[in-house]
Amino acid sequence: MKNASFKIPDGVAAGLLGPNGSGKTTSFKLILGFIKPTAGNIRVFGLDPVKHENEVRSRIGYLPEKPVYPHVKLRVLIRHVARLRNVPSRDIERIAKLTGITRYLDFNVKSLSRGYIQRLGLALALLGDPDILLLDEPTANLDPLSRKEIIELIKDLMQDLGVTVIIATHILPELQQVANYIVFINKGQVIEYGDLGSIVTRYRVTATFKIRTSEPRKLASKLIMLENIRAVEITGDGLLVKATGEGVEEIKLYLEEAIGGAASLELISSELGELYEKLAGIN
Amino acid sequence: MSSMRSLQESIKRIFHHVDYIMGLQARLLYIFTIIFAVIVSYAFYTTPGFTISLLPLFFLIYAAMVSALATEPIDEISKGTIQVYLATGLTREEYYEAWLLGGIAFQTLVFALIYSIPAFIVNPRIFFITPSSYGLNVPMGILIVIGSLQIMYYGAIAMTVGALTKKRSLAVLSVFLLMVIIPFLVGIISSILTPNSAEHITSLVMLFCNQLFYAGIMSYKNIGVFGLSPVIESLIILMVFDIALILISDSVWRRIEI
Repeated sequence: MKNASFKIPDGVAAGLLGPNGSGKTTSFKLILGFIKPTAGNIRVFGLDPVKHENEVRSRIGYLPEKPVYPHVKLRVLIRHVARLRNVPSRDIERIAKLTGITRYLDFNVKSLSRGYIQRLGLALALLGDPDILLLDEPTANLDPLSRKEIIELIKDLMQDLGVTVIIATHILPELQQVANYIVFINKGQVIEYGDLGSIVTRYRVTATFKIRTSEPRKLASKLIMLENIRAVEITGDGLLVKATGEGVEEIKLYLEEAIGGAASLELISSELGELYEKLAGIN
Repeated sequence: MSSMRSLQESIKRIFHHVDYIMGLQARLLYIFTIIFAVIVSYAFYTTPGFTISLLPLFFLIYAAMVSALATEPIDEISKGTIQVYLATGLTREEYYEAWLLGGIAFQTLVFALIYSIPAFIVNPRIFFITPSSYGLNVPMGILIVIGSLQIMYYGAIAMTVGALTKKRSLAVLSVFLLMVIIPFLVGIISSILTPNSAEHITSLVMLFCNQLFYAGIMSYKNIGVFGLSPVIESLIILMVFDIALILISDSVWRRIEI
């Protein structure tokens, strides 16, 4: 990492993006105090993670990139982690249910598929209700079905627990389903970080927005005429508009002129691949 | 008050991990322990002197197993399993101390108890018997203490070398060198030297490599290589080395990167 500096606000689902070897896992290891910075300092919850290992790590749930678990029954491993985290044993059942591994609790770790090993990793990370979840490549090396399941699980966990999640990945289609904040790293340098909506707008990336309006048909017929609008879909309470980077400015201008800016744009999803290419080209 | 509570919490975490390690890693050792305990108990009833002649064999097997167990943390670092435990809030120091207790100290205690409990039940005076018919002029109790401290010595070496090099193979090799290879080579080299210098070199090497054998070999003499009783020399070397190795290993583990 070189002069890396970024902040992640509470409650967001942040994507730590970057090519292989860019420093994503290193960032996590620095946050957890597994390695020490050679220069500069790092503060997590206002504390040095190397000096205050327990205070920092007991508030973080971590799913390693390539987790290697001991070959024991899931129940044994989860119970041990629960004891280390000072979590009552009744929470084991709750977390197991939340992550969908209840029926595998008496199975040996070595008998699990990759998808279920990731579920186990999520269960271990969630014990003790951490303030932050660090997920390092949670869908790497999974088959498409398992990837989808894990992403759905992460989405559910975010909704149910309201925990801050930081996901390190370079697999974009899945990330764009969950992330609303990004930190882009390349060659150890932080290229960009911030709210996904503002970054998408700033880098003029194709994205889908929601516009709430009481007259969706009327607004749709106007917007579809604009040059950089790719698609408009009428929903129950407004419109879903897919626009290129330039189109976003057009929509904003149109909304300002037509209805005095009364309707706002809410980012639904964006083409992270396009953003990735633009950001990767900066360094 | 809060520092007292955090110390309590820390001790609790260490013992949770000790419990886990022993349940998970030391099964083979426990199987041997039961077998040894049965053999030793029977031998104490029949020929107490013969029991002590089993000590070198049991000692070598135990030392090898404890040393292998002491290198497990290095294996956990290289595989990444350690991250699973440290991510919970367990500190490096607690992790190290748990292994020191569960992997080395507790197993050493088990070795000592295999001999001590049957001897104590049969006749506590066995501890003071000197098995001179087997060429040893050291009381059984002292030999058991030296053997136990030496198992700890090899375990501590394995843990220290492993922490310094992060290589399990080097840790195992260093113990194997001290325990078997160096004494064996020195024995061969000494055979081509004059009897006096051969004895001196062999004794010196044994004092630093294999104190149990040193105490046994030199037990017919009253003076060891440093002018003290050979048994006292063995005990001093072992205690100094054990403490030094544990301190070195502790300082390395505090700073180890994962």
